[in-house]
Amino acid sequence: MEYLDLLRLQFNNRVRLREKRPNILQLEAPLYHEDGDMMDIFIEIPKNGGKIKVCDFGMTLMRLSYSFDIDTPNKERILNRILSENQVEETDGNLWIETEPDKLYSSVMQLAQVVGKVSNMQLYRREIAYSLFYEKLQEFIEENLRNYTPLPKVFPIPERDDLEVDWQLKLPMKPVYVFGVKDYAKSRLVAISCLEFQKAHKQFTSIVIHEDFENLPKKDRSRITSAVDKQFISLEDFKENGLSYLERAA
Amino acid sequence: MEGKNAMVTYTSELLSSLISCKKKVVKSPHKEMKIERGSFRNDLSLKSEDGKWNFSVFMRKNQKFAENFTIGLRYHPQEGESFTLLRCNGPHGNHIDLERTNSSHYVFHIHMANIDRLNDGVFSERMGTITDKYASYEEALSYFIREVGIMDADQFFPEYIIQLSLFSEEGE
Repeated sequence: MEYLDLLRLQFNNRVRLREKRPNILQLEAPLYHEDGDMMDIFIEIPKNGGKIKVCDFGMTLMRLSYSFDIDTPNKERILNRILSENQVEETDGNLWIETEPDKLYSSVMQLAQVVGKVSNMQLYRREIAYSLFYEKLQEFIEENLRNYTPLPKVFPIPERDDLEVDWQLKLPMKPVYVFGVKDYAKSRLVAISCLEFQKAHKQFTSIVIHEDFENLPKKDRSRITSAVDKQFISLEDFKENGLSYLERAA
Repeated sequence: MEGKNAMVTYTSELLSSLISCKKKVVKSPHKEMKIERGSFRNDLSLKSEDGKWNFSVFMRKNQKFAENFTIGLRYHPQEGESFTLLRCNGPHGNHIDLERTNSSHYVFHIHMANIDRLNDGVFSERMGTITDKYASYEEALSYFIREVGIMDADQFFPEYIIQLSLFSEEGE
């Protein structure tokens, strides 16, 4: 077969093609996922001339969905950026490149790179979700709490640069320290920070906004409840009730 | 044998218990799989009968190639990373360990969590073994339901429980 011979030649004979369906060949080449499975790369032969399509028939996004969903605008933005920067198209989950016979090798490698990058989005799931939660919280604070002169990244004990307050709000009696909490690690840090501030006799009120309070381990829920003054169980809760709380506290 | 995932120490016995313990459904699957970005998908959440452990199940079937499917059980520890304990796959393609293990992933196969792989710290269910326990997605789901101890499964998967009784070990 012409395509197989061309690709074999370009891959230095380290490649095979299996017929998956009529006009669809599955590539066997030394291109693997981290779990050892070979990357799902297919070559769709045009029926009436035209360009060859190198594609994955949705297998990459299917595999990714075992542990990671593209379910937020931020994740969507990152996926689209990976695809557009690597000149790969997506149609209903199918990642594809149109190519010419003499460019099969480079197109296969180009798609393999994208398959790898998209698959690795799961490794950054914490960072992706974390930044989105912070983006939303920051946006709300900057737009709605301007009267309280929000000041980001405050260190109440100058010699302790490990104890950071996400935002400080200015209130007449004493400042309000605001913390966003996405996970148990941040929850513990906030609990320790507030206890240290208390030990240093800082005058403040502490507010924690959780991404999902119920998602924290039980012991961490107890720890943070004991250490801070006021908690909002979600960003929605803070958006709904945060302003009235601050008005009462002022 | 022991392995570490974040702050938790796992043993082979614990992994076996996590897979086989009785589990209650806390978030039901959809009645029908939903098509999303090229694959049929369904999910559910589980909790161990004693309430200690949390799990999720992912069911996926490629829209173009029905034989490219997977049904997996993920464990969500209170601390540390979630990971897949068990994954029942269809015949989707080749595997890097093909020559060493003499196993082909062009056949139905099962990936299982293993302490040594957990010790490596990345994918716990990297290697797979060939299985004759199922030969279709529906049979794989019946097998999976039984292996991971989903309680009251007939309420959530009635059609697959019928299949389960048809092909039960007692009947073989």
